[in-house]
Amino acid sequence: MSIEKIWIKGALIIDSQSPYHLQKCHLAIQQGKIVHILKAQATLPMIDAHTRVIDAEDMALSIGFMDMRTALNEPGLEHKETLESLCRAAWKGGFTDIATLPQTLPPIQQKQQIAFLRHYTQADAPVKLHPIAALSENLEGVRMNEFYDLHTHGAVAFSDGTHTLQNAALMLRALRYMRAFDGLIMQFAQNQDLVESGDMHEGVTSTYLGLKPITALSEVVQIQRDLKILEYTGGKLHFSTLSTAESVKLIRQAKAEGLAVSCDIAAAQLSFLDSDLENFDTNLKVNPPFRTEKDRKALIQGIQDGTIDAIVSHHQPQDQESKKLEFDLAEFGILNLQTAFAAIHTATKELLPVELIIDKMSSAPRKILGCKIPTIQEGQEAVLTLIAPKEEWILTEQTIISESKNSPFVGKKLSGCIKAVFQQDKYEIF
Amino acid sequence: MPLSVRHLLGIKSLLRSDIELIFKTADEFKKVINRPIKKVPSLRDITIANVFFENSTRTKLSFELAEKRLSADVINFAASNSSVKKGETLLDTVHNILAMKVDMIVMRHSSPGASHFLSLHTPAIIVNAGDGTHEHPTQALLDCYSIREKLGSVEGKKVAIIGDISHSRVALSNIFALQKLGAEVMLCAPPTLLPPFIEQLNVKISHSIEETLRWCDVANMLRIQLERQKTANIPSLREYALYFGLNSRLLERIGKEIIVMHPGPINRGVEIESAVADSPQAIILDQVENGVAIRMAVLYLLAAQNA
Repeated sequence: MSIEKIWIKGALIIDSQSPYHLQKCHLAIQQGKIVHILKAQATLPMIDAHTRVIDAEDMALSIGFMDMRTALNEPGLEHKETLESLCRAAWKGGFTDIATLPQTLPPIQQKQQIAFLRHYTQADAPVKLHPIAALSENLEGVRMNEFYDLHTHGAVAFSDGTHTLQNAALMLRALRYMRAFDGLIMQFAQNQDLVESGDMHEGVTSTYLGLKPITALSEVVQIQRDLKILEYTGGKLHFSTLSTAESVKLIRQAKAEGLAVSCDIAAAQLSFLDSDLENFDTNLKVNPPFRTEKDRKALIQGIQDGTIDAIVSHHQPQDQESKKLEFDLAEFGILNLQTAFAAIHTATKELLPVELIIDKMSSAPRKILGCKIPTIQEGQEAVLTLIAPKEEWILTEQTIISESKNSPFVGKKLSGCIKAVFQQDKYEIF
Repeated sequence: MPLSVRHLLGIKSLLRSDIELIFKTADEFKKVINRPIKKVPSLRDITIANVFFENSTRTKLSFELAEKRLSADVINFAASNSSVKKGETLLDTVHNILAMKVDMIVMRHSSPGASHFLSLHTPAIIVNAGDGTHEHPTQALLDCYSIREKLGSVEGKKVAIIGDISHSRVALSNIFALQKLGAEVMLCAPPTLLPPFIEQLNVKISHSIEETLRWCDVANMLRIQLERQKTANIPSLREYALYFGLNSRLLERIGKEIIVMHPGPINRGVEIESAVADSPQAIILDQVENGVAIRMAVLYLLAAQNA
């Protein structure tokens, strides 16, 4: 007998756009739409054989999560992760939408590639893909891509991904050109001249491990330069994966001055510090690197006061051949789509309320990228994530959904479990 | 009492009592290597591979000699004539060596943490013979042993490490060893050859060699590692020699007896003038001799406790 209707019983609604925000409700979904919302005090109507009830006591119901910084490895790097397992990992992590970086082989810079990704659907993990196109041709930092055409065909933003656009003149021209269609540039801020071949945050830990440093200064200098260019050209600039206290200060100031700037941080920045690298664990080798407690506190403060707009997974699968190596030879990056919410919640339990975390990983990314923001109201499409914030679980290598296994959360107790995801008429209850 | 560690990965993970045990054991081996019959049968059933992914002359010779004096079976592997150039990973290379029933690996590698990595993924006993700019524990042990031999003890002594601290594999290990043994440490270098957070390791910093020499009992001169510097951190060797080099005029001017050390190989005329390097106050060759005794002690103690 097929299920036609689902009742989610007694969940706390978390959606600041919804009249039911922060209220406990029963919610019915039928044919991909939210058909009823009742206050939790009300009794459920008669349940027939075609109706399924999810008991959501102690759970929170949010609009579907959206990630705005996920590495895409297909085509060209399928041994790290296929599109199929990427969608599975995102779905399991509560994401109904993900914006993908253009660093495939070849890079995403043709309208056909954009169209393919936008129309990609997968029955067992119906995550919508929002491609970010390469900012410079072949990610080389020299020539502009066809921004207007790529934008017209659905590129949500332009970025050179984990490369920083170093060329100041190109940054200036790109920002200026994109004003024609209100396009968005996403920049990973790191001045290459100041980094050379660094491996971790510059501090006392890098000093006694003998590892080459990635200074906080290299990020700050790049942000300062790009903000000055933005001030000069106008346009929209987003800084990806900020990591230092000084960066937060700069963005706070730029926002106060009225610049069209936004920013995000990588979720794992809240979980780890540079001192955690003591044992040369390559699953903690990320760029930007994990920094100090002072930086971590400043990032949390930035989230609280709205300086930091979004929190991203910065999901970067790396196969064993790229990670089971001497530290300086290992690649940067960790998996974090499947664990993003739990990682953030576990690391900031006392400091960030669940509704704030959810906002930073659902409405905020959509707002920055200009994507439609779903809402929890009767008659609206069911784009939903059901979360049990207090439920504890442990990630194991076997339960990682990816061709790669580079998660620093393996074996760690995490708090916050994704219980169900709805993408209109497709859903899965975990 | 055995060592507190299974491998010798660095000085940071050793206890003071470990270092003292190594020194006591080295005292015995130093007697052995000065006898007409320089060999003991202690490691007769042990096979040791010296795996050197970076060039080294004295460290490799010293380890090899130490192993042979202990009657171990020795094989040598150098990256220049190996399959590493064909793209084999470190772990594969070492697993292949271990498959030939090797018990201990002595490794020199350019990556910081390489020996640590190996100790986690292989069953062999690992001795770090220098991992990039991280540690070079046996050098620090032999340096401290040489100070102890010359001055009776390391405790309370003032030791200056002068030269390229940033690119040195010796500096950190020496700092840790000297501090564990109760010495005070001063580092002297141009600011571009000092890691920015090094003062947090509880060391004094100076940019004046004269001031440093006036302060110290022992001056350990480090080599300017030009090949390790992708970017120039000093304008020229000439300027370095003028302002940071150790010469006899300087020593005469401060007018006190200082012990001069150098881990080698020395750049005569750069960090140290020939007249100083060859003077009686330089114990550079004693260091080399002690290196064999220290390495015998380390290999012996690690093998004994893993037996």
